[in-house]
Amino acid sequence: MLPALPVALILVVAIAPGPFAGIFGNGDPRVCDLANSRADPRPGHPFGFDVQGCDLWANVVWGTRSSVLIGILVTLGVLIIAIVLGTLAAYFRRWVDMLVSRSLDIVLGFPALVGMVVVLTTIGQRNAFTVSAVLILFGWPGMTRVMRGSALAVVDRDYADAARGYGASSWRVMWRHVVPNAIAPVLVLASLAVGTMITAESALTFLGIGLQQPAISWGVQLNSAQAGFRQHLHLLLAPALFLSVTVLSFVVFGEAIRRRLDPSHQRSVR
Amino acid sequence: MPRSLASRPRSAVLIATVAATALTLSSCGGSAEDSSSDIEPVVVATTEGAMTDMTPGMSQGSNVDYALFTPLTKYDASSGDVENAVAESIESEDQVHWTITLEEGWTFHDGSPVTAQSFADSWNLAADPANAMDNNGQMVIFEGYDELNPVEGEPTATELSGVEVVDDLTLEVTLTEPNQLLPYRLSSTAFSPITEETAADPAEFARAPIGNGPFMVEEGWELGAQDVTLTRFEDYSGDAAGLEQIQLRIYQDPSSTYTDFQSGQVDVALIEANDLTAAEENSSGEVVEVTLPALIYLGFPTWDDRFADVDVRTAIATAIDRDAIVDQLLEGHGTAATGLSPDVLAGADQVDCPTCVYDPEGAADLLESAGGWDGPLELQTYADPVNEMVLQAIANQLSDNLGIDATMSTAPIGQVYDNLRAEESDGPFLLYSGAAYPHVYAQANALMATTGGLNMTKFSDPAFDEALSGAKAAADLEQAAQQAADAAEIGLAEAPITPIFYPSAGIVHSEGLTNIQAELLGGVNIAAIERG
Amino acid sequence: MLGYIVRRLLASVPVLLGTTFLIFVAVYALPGDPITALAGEDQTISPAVRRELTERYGLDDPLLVQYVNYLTGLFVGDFGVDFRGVEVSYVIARAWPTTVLLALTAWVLMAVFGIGLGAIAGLRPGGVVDGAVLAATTVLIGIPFFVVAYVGQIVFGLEFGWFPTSGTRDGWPLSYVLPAASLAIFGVPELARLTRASILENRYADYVHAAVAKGLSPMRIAVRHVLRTSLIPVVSMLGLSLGGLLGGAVLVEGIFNVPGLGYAIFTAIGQQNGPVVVGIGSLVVLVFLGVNLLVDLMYGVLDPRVSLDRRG
Repeated sequence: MLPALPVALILVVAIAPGPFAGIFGNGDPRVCDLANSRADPRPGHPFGFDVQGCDLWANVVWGTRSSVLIGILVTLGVLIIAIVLGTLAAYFRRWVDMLVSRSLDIVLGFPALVGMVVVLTTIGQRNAFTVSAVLILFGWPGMTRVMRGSALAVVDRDYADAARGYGASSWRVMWRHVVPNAIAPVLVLASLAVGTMITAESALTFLGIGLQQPAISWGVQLNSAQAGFRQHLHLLLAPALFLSVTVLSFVVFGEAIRRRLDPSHQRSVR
Repeated sequence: MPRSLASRPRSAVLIATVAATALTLSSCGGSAEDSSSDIEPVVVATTEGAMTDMTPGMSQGSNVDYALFTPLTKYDASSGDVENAVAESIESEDQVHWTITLEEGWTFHDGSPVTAQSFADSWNLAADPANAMDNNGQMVIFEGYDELNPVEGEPTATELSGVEVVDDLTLEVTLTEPNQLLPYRLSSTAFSPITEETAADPAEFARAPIGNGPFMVEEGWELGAQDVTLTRFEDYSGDAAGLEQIQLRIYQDPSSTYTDFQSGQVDVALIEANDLTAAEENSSGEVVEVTLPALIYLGFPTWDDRFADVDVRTAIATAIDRDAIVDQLLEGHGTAATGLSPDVLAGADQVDCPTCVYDPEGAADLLESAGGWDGPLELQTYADPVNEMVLQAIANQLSDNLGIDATMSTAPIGQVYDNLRAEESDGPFLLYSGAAYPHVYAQANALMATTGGLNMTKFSDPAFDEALSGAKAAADLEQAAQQAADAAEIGLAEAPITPIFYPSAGIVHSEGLTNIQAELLGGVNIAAIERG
Repeated sequence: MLGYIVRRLLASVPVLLGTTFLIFVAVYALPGDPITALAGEDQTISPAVRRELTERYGLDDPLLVQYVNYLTGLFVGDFGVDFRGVEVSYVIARAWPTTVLLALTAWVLMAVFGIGLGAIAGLRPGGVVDGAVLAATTVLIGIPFFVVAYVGQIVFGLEFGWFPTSGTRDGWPLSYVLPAASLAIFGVPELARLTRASILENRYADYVHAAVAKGLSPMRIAVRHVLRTSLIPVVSMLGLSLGGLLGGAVLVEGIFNVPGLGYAIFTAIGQQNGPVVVGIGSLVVLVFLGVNLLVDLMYGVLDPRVSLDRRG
């Protein structure tokens, strides 16, 4: 599967950034000299130096780790919550739907960004896990709502009734019929969510409430670059480029998954 | 909702009349350029925070405050001196009892005279806790403040007993302790006079102020207004303003002012260090760089045993390369600290800071002989791009030069200060301190005195406190400056804090404007602007 | 239908209570002392002033008492007075129209471009438009929006001078184009892709085959059947996005110096100005519940198979 290659490469980089960072001979992101502050690219330092005079290439490569980690963690968390709650709500309706829909409304009613600012400010601890947790806390309702809507349509369709008709258990109907037929829109959303969540992390950092130094992430780099990006465009471009390529890879990969999982698509192929 | 113009007291009508007269006069006597009505008013950027409540008791010392109000004395940013403004003389034999004589002829924008009572009203208003004004704390210098603001229980007075109106032009002021620096303190807009009407109902005039400054507002504005027009006050008793009209453009977020300046929507703006490089490379206008009378310093939590030893504090302080931080990181926009405040402030150039030198080897040796360092070191500051950048550089330098595993963290500004006040912080902290008034004493007192308002390190040294009190009781201003400087050195040698740099700001202005000067806090001196 | 609306309105009450209470708790859990923040962090406050402020704002009442007091005020339309002595309803009244205008402009831009591009791509999958949309939307979600906002400000505001770079002085639409576009650009890719996916799914559904078998024209099928059904998740997403747009407005309003709700609430968080945060928060919740109800009603209109009366 071709689209999996870039994602695989990104994952490898995320797991072991060291060798990649060292390709140009200066792989330690923590070796910094203020004399090189904001310096332009030069041999051995293809992306130049950041504000603190650290090698930008090494920092951007190391940044893959936390950005990808957060993107995947959050998407997985949100996806699982969405599938479970959305399906349950659509299948059982009545009080289950009531409960899911209302709590969904409550969280959605909370202006998410404001909520995140408040929660992260209150927690005080800001690492990859708290940031992920907060993104999940405010991120689950959107996808859950779509899952519920799409499962609702499936449950109303004849074949779910038919399955129930010949005595399949609720669990089986949900797992074998409702989820596979209703999951396509959420998977499409999820394929986009990895990128969105990576961007969201950089947005929180941009506001000064996301990750903070000494964490190395693209969000942190973009944040420190935005102060002088008009003069030193490379500071902004390097992390933005990596960010864009990563998001692109995940989206293309997600698209491939969608093609495989989408039952209607398979039917048309057949 | 603020009341509309129609429901304002009669004085508003009076202003309108006065203004109309003024306009007629100026169109007769003014220069051809001034009177031509097709000239667009000069647009000066300001912030919403500076435009919320103009009552002197709530004032923040912004340049708009100085445009609308003139206190007893005035600070001249170019010389660093304080000169009499409304005051004709401020005299004392013992530095406790002061006689303040007002110059004759000063009036408010509504035509009513500025009297001794106008000042007394203003100070009493601010000192009354029932009004909960921001500048309440500044009135602490007057005798009787404690009766109005008891630590516990109800106030036993309604006015400051230390402020006595003798006649229309004379005030007798009694201070709680000798203070040679009173003229400096009185230059703050917090001590500006107010009209009788304002004293009776300050809320009414919060955004429709009647001041005595070089500019006046013809009608009030509402919260959230984007533009406010200032008109030259033709009966101003000081130096007349250079321009007939100024349009203030109010920004919620000052970071977008520079972009607006570039696109020609704003003529004069105060920009932060980050935009300075861009402004200098750009030819769209001119830049005046201003060193602010402020200090960015690293403070040590002296209640934490790890920082109890002065050698440890000194080692950390001298392992910081201030020049590299200013030259490289800040691209030259700032001044590496060699004392407590930039030289322009009285007494500042006489301060020598023993911990402001860069000596990495010496620092490492000193730390070693003081027992070395165990474990990680977490430096703290509040969320601010420049602070974060500088603190990260300091962390890197401490790691490199002392081998300490130094990291940094940030928190909202309120939380940082609350934690420090509660002694719940356990690492050195990078903070900003602006001089409350233009004297080195102000910084030394605020940062290192046992009772200092910004003494976050909980540093307490009787020798320092005594030397500083001596400065306040000095016989003349020159001696006061020297003694304050000597005291500052005693404190700095103990290294409760180590100065890092004096921040810079820049005033950008479009071509054709001249005499661009800075007020104390860096904003442009609005009254001084001229068309050249 | 009417019964459904009434039931939904009743069901909103606990949601409204729950949300405002959560906001209330969160705001009061914010670290930092509101009185310190009020006077300025570096000011010394006399104990007497502190007592006055504490009493004025009822800060030493138990949380629940404060909340009940607040709710009581809210029911008679009183949002209270903030820590600066300004009426919260005033803060809201002056910021509200700006944000609504900004969010609606962004919303319309998003709907037009999102659904339009998605529909074209979905009806002709694999075509040039489809490829271009996929590529463009992919690149767009890869770029942090604040970079988009800054670049837009510099390119279209500064270099070309087409639009003002900040403020709302030039009125609608001129002043709103850049901020609204920066806001909308976020949602377009997601919406376009959702529309596309949903259309693709429905194109092959049985009822479409049936319609084709009945000999209906392809245009009629596309519009009457495929688009209509495909819009269900899209409408749902659009409804939801309004809340997101209000949130995104915080950032965009800051960058473009737009004096709206987002900016007001963000400033208020920084100042620990609880009454403003809670007031604006509650209002956003109210609006959100309203939009939610509308979205569900539209479900019924768009998809006859979803019967409202069977639910909630």
